[in-house]
Parts: sequence; C-alpha cells; structure tokens
Amino acid sequence: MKINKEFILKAFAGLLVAGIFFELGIWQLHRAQDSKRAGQVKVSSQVARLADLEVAGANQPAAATNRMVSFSGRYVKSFIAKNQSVNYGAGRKVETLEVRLMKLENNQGILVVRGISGITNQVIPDLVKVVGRLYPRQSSDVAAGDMQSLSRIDPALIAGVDNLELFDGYVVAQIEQNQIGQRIVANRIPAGVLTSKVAGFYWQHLTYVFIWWLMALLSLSAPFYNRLRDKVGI
Amino acid sequence: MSNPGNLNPNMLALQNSMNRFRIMAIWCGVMSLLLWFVNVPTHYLFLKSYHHYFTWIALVHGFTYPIYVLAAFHYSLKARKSFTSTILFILAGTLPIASFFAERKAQADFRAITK
Repeated sequence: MKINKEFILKAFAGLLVAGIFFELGIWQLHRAQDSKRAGQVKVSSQVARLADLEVAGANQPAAATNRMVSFSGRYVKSFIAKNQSVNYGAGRKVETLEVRLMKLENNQGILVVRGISGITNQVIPDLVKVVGRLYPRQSSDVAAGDMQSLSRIDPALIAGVDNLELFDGYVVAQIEQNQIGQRIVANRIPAGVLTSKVAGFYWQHLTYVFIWWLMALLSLSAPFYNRLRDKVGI
Repeated sequence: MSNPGNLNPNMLALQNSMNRFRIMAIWCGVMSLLLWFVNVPTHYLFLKSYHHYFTWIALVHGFTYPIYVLAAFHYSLKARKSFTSTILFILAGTLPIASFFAERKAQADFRAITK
C-alpha cells in the first residue's frame, strides 16, 4: 500500500472527526444514564432536621431535594402564590396557595407552603413545628407579583425581609403543630416526590449514541472511501 | 423506474441499492417533517401539554436515521459518488425536505446512467 502525505492527512482528519463523534456518543450515553437515574428517584422516607440537610444562604444540595424535613419557628410574614399547579395524583389543578415565611433559630428563615389559600388572616402566634417535603425553588414566574403575592415560590423574591438568612427552596407543610402538640388546621396540598420529566427520553438518547458512533465509524472509513468505491462501485 | 428485465446484474444491484435508499429517504423525510413541525414546536413553542403524545416521533426518527445513513452510504459507493456527495446525501436525512430532493436526485442519476 502506497502511503502518501494526502492519505496521512485524510487519516488524521478522519481520526479527529471520529474522535469528536465518539465523544458526542459518550456525552449522549451519560445523558441517557442521567435520564434513567432521574426517572428512578428514591427518597428516604425518614424525617430529617432541615439544618442537617441544608445550609441557610447556600444552594439546596441535590440530596436534600424531596426529603421530608422538620423544623420549628414562628411565622413572620404571609403571602399568596397564584396560578400554582398542584398535582393531585389523578390530575393537576391550578390553585392559589398560602405561603408563609417562618423565622427559625439563629435568625434563619424558610418559605412554607401551608396549603390552599382560604382561611384568611389565620393568626398563628405560637412556636410552630412543621413537618413537610422540601422542594427546590421555582425558577419561572407563573403570576404577577407584589408585596403580598409571590410571582413564584422562590426565597430570592423576599430576600431582605426581616434580615433573615434564608434556606434555599421551600417546604410544603404536611403537619403543623403548636407548642402543646395540637395540629393546626389548613387546607393542605399533596407533597409528592418530584421526578424528572426527561426520564422518557432514555431511549432517545441511546439512539443518538448509536448515530454518533455510526458517524464515527463512517469517519474512520473516509480515508479509504475512494478505494472502497472502486471496489464496490459500478 | 427502469424495467429490471433490461438491466445487467450490476445495474440491477445499483437499482436495488437505489430503491433501498429511496425508501429510507422518503421515510426520513416524513419523519423529519414530523420532528421539525410537530415534535419540536410542541416541546418548545406551543401546545406543550400535548407534547407527550409526540415523543415517539424523535424516537422513531432516531432509530431509523442510522438505517438511512447506511442506505445512503451504500448507494453512494455503488453509484461511485464523490465523498462530498456522500456526506450531503447523509446529511439530507436530518432536514425536513432535503431527503426528498436527495431521493429525486438519486432517481435522476440512475435514469441518466441507464439511458
């Protein structure tokens, strides 16, 4: 086989392009694996202390998301959150939710979704113990916001209120108890585990893996294309 | 299409290869149209709540495009196409109507050869 400069150049280019395609395949393979993992969320059912999972003023760790947490404090501010999509299992419904800012010890705070807004001006002066599920902050507005109404449930919107150091995300309360253990009434909403919507795309990513690697193979054949054509061609 | 009875074995092989390519080109063209004008818009632009009805489009297109690539590569070799033409034939499967043009081109080339 006569090896000339042109062939070496073609082979080098073919290898380079094949390498890029191979890496793209690896990238899609990782995305497929991520999609699969996201669709198989397993969350510990044990109730943890909020302060053990998350640090106020820092981003919510992935391991903290979806966990059942408990904490105690006093409500210092009340808001409503309109146009919130609530998953009732059988279907979704748009609701207006009651969201309160709870002041915890060490001048820390967290947003608590008490339930569907309805019992107006319910005064809860006591120390309250909350058990609920921790969710990541919402990232896009679903309603217009003002002083009383949150455009999305995101502690960044109330940064500076009472100079509290806020925990990232919010908690959907399932149980609220006062100091003597009595439950506080509210129109609660379900607090299901959040799952990724991309889980169904697992096979789609796998098809891309196959396509990229097929392209890599074809790129490797590029330097031999003319020879192949002479052999197969009519 | 030429009558297979008039073709020598080489031409018959080329015609078979071209037919495989044509079938895949039409299939990929239809799937690309669905992908670009149904699947992608419902994912990013409008009727987003209906997107889950159309996720199969990307999957089917993804699984059948490699078959199109192989058919295009094989036909290009058989028809002694240049490397650039081969790349263009392969890429035609990713654009909504490009594969239809590729299919017409393949047929026109074949007619020119067998005239």
